Amino acid sequence: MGLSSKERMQIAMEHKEADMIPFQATFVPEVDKILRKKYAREIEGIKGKKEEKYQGMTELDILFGHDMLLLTYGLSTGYYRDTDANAYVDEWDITWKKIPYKTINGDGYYTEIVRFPLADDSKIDSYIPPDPGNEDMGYAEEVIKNYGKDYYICGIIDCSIFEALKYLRGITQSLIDIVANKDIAHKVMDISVDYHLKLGLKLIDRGVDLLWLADDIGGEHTLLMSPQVFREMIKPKMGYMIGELKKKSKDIKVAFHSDGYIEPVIDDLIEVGVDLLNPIQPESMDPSFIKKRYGKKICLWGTVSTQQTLPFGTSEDVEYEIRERIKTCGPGGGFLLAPTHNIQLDVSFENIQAFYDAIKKYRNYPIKI
Amino acid sequence: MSAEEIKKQLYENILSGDFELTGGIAVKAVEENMDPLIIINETLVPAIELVGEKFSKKEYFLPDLMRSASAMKNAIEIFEKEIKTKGIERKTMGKVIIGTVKGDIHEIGKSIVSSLLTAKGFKVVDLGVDVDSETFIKNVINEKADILGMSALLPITMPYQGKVIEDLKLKNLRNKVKVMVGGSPVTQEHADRIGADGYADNAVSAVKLAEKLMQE
Repeated sequence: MGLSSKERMQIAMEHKEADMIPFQATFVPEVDKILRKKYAREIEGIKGKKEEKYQGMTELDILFGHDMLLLTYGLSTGYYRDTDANAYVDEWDITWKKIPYKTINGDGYYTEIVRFPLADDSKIDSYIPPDPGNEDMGYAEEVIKNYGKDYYICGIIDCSIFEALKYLRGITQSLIDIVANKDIAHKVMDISVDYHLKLGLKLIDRGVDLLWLADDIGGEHTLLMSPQVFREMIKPKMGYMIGELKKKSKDIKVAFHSDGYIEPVIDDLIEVGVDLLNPIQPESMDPSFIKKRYGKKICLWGTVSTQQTLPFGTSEDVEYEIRERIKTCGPGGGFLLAPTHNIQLDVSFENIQAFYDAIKKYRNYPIKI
Repeated sequence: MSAEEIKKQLYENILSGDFELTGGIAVKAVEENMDPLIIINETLVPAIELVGEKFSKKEYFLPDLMRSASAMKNAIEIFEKEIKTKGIERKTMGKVIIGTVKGDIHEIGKSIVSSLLTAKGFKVVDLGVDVDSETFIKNVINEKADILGMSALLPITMPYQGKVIEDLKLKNLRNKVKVMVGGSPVTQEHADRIGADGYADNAVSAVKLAEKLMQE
């Protein structure tokens, strides 16, 4: 019998070649809905759970053979809420507004923050963040009960540090805060560190294999802040969080996500204990270079372009890109292939099909490309 | 404080981005009856240009650029008021209509471009975010704009930059205004495909592009 998804991921995370390259993908809710409808018959009977607050899509994960299942918790769950309201306030007192868009495949929406609860300095001291005790662990428990034995389980505690500052203060203000109002920046970021750390510890108790932190610190071709500012303001908080998580469980792995170009601080991420780096956007960093330069010390997760290839490429382009990534990032393990973000509504069904077909065609070890 | 000292402090505070100080120093310059045009051209503009250069060389990052742009803005507002009071005029480099396209509410890149253009001497009308084609075109006509700058931060809103260009053509306005586009997913290929006159991948090159477009 072949390896389970969980074993495949565990081997990959040890920088070794398993039977195949593990992979996964996520979709925006609009695509999730289309696929659920399209595959209604096939997913019937697959155990899944979709809760109002969380982006659960377990049935599709199982149907498509994804090796890792994601459980979304914390601040970022404010982004998508299953509500008819055009705007809503989440438990962090953040006001979100739906911004509609149209594509050839239908209409969808993104959400944007239209009111930042701590934009005004005077609100910070009296701010009461939500209680991590109120997060519904039933969702994680159910998925882990059903799938924890066979699948690698990732608990998302993203928007952990700098992203939280952006959510609570606004991006423009945050960029100013980290260089000119450092006390405020620390105070606000620590609220989130405390919250997401508690959440991470609870998820370890429930049995997750991986915890996923995220802070967008990269622009398209440069860091959003200098490496020095990252090292002074953000890195120590990451080190503290990851240290506490690994103290709780020596087996827990930690992933970190930042869009864009972050190469100057990858060594810092390795130093604070990041095991898996996401998403290595090919528009910003060359995945084969990152693999060559850092691949022995950190695993790569992502690399397939959701910005260009999946929406604008042909199905041959999609196949070519996956073939290239497997060829350059697959050797020696340490690679979880995935789109660099949720597959968006402007991606054609042919390209989604091409994504899965190419993975099936090329993912076997030993790589024969 | 001597005139030399005032200029030195303005220059240094723009460079270091100490935005809280520059307004006060500018007020002192006005009290000392220093020529606002000379200070803008010989002190503020060279300072912000050096900031731009440092940003291009990746010695400065976004927070540094924003801080310096704010410092510049605080000083320039005071000098522009003085220029008005004195009834003199700052030479305009050109008039720019700028905004983030419909469906997209990302503002930071567009706002930085807007402040750097203003610093450089362009007259900028910033229409904000989520701007529809009609509003862009109405402003291009009413303001007799030389340049239209459009930002898009989502692959899904990028095509709207092309739509506005098509609408300009329909109204026979395309050859009356130069169009520049930007935003993180935007590329030179996209700019060429939709028929824009120029593309810049960061705020500093956007200013250089605007200067170039004015000479064409």
